[in-house]
Amino acid sequence: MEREFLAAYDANTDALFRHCLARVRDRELAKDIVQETFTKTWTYLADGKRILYLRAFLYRTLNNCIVDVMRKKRSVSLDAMAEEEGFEPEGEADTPAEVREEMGEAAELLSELDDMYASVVAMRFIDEMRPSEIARVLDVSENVVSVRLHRGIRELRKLWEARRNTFDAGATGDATDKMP
Amino acid sequence: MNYNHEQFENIFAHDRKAALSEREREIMKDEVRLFIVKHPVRPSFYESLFARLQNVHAGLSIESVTGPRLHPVLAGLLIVFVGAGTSYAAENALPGDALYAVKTLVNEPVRAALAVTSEAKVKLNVALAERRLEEAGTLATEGRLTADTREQIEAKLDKHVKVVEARTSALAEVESALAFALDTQTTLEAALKAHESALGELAEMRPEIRELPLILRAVALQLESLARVRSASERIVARGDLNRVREFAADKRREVEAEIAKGSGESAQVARVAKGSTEDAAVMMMSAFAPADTALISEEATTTEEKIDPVIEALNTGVQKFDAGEYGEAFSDFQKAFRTVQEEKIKSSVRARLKLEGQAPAAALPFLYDEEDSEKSHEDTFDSESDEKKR
Repeated sequence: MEREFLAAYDANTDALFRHCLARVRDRELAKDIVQETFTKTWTYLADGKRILYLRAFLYRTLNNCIVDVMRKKRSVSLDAMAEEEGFEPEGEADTPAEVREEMGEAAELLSELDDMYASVVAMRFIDEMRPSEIARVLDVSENVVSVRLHRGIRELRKLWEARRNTFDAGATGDATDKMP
Repeated sequence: MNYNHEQFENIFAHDRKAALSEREREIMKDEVRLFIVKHPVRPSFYESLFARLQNVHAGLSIESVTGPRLHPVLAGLLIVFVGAGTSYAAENALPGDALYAVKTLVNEPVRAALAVTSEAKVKLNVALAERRLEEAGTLATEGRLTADTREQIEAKLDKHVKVVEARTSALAEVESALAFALDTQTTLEAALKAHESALGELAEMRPEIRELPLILRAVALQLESLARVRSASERIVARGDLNRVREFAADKRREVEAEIAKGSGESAQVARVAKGSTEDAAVMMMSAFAPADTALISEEATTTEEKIDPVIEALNTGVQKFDAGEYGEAFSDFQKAFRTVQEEKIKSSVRARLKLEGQAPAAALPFLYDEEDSEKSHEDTFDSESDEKKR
């Protein structure tokens, strides 16, 4: 069983890491979460429980771990936000705005999207899973998947627009004289 | 919404390329390895219970306590004592597994004790003989067929076949049980042949399994002795009253035809064949049999035809002899056809179980994609095609 599990580890680590990184936007944190996913899965197996579809199980576990971590992270960052003045949306602030591609920004907002939507969007566009697969991983119907995907995209778009507006407002504030 | 799926593909293009470095991956894997070592698989409750039980009864196997025959009351008590869970869990154990002893020293004797009539005992032993060969196949494919496990299987197979032979020979002397005795012998023979030929294929494909040819030799010996016993029973049939022999032959013929018709959905046609001339029968049998057989064996048409031949041939010869009034000989031919049909049926399931379709063995763990492929609906296929086009 150990050998099989390690083979499964080799086969899935990269994909899980990619998914996780897209969701949490923090390389070290993503690595930790992936490790936690595998140790939890192993513990489950070592207790003599059966797993029918390992890949689906791994994604489900990963998703739970991400949700846990993000919940903690958000509460912390909200506290910090309240204390700090002049909060600005986090991101690669030193990268010039022009260099950042609009699209890339939208992808980064995935970490701010509701987990329910973020998981579906990441599975669809990062892991390139079919809706039927996502449905199996999340144990919901395909209809639910497509609804969440649709809403997720809409929310992401909203977040992105909101962020652009803040950004533009900041930019115009700095250079008011240039604006008509 | 301005974003369509294609644009979203682009949005995440960068994220899709994210990967761990070789070093990161190694470090992480080492951590997981360490975790596995620190958290070993716990033996299940029943396994540890059984290990303890074995210690308590060290040196006292159930057979030595009770003799070869287990009393039904004791059998019932054993179920309660050892626990139905263990007994159930042991059903799939293989020689070399911890629970295999439960399976062969508790479960199967319990079943034998509960099989009160001679018929039930015979049927059970036929099933158990097949089971031993299934175990051999599974062990072989898993690379666990050792000299030790092979000897266990051979000894048990011999025991089961001997029981069937002895009891059916006795039953064959009783007029009312003759048909049953002969059917059972035929079934066991067909099963052994089917396993022999499937395991033979496996041995050819994987010559590195050294114990397999030895098992095959043991099965061949069993088949020889079984064939002798079976022809003795057939002779008993042939010696009987002419009308009775005729009845036997007609019954067997109907059975063969029913088997051929089964699955092909053309039973009506076959029924007509039974009344038609021999030549028509051959042609129509072919057409009726072909689809069923293709489904069963799922091989190319040419191979299928080769496999039909012995059945059709035996059936036709039988029909000719039957029409000529040689019912005894006709009966043996129908028997042969029946055996062959049964053999093919069992063989196809054995081959499927051993994954003998010229395919590489499936992955050890079922991943999402593996399973998805087989149940891919048309919609999904279309979906993935269009996805590929987009990329």
